[in-house]
Amino acid sequence: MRYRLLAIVVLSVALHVAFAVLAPSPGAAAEIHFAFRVAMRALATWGCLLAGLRFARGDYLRRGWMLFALSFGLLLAKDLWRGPSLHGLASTSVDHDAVRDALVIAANAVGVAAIWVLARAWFRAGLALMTSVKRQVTSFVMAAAVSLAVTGPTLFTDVHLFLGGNVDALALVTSDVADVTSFALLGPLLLTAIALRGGVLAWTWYLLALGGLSFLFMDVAQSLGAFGHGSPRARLAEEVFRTAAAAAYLGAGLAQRWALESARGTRPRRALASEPAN
Amino acid sequence: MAGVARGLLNLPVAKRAACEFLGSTSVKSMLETPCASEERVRTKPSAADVFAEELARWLGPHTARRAVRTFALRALGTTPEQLLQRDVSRLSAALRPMLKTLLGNSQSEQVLRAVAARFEP
Repeated sequence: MRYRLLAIVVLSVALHVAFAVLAPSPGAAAEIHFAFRVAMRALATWGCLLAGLRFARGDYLRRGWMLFALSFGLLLAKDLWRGPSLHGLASTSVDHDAVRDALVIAANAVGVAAIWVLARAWFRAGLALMTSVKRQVTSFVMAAAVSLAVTGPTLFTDVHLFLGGNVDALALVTSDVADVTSFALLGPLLLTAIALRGGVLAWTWYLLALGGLSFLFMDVAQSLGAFGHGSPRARLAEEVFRTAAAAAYLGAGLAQRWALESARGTRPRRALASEPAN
Repeated sequence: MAGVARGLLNLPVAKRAACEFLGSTSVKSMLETPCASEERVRTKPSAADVFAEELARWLGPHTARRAVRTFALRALGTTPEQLLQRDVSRLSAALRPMLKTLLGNSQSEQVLRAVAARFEP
């Protein structure tokens, strides 16, 4: 099962790269990027919903998964709002769009709330009690430093734009703040994945961390693309990392559902009194 | 004569043969040490081992052992080695919030029922 989950990520990325590289024109490549963006966000929404719905009402992680599903759903709605033209993927010019901006802001706010809920599971489950404070502090500080290094310059530029009177930059600032927060919270996600290594639950957390890292690399590619004035390679890297992130969240959702189904099917084994030791 | 027979039966080869092929309790009673299979049956895993073994499937072996140690110390004030069968329900109660967070309520109850079943006579 775990290899099938990893195969989802690898296959999605391989297909995206192959289609984009073989595209006959830059316009066709842009359409392919858009198609993958929509398809993968729809699949990620579905995967997170599957995981969330497997938990009962009131279960802690249900909230996190449902928020992730809502976040991906809002991003999907944003993509579908006016099709590829609005995202600069096709050649049509980009106009100011209040609906799009509202969807971006909402999706980012919900996404941060989702990752906050999942990151808090580390403390809530008591896993923090079993790890040295030094290790926890190191991982949090490192994640925050990487987060600021990657998204800091973009955040600075976008805040400058917004303060200069560009209303459109508000969506960008929200997105940047969401990125800084999400990447800083990667520490607890990674620690949870490492703590659960060897167990059925580990794969959910490995894939969640992989999704977060893919978004981080997507931002790096985005920044490099901005410096290189939108080079096709940086564009391809950005879109491929976006696909990898969505595929990882889809895999994480499926892994969570699979783990819960395994737990639900747990049958009591023989009693200790008659059981031989290994 | 009985002493010679007992001596022969306790030779490793003869002992193995007696254990494997002779079900007679009278022959087994002549052995100074029990058959290996009997030894295995007698050496039960400790309560902490059972908890760690059952939780390892979900939490991984490393965290399962650490969870048993941490919650045994925090909730019962005892080390895993000192856990007794009467501590099982209290240790289960201490581990419940962790499992409930990671697996949800009904799934964690299922896992804890499976642990409890290992201690039933």
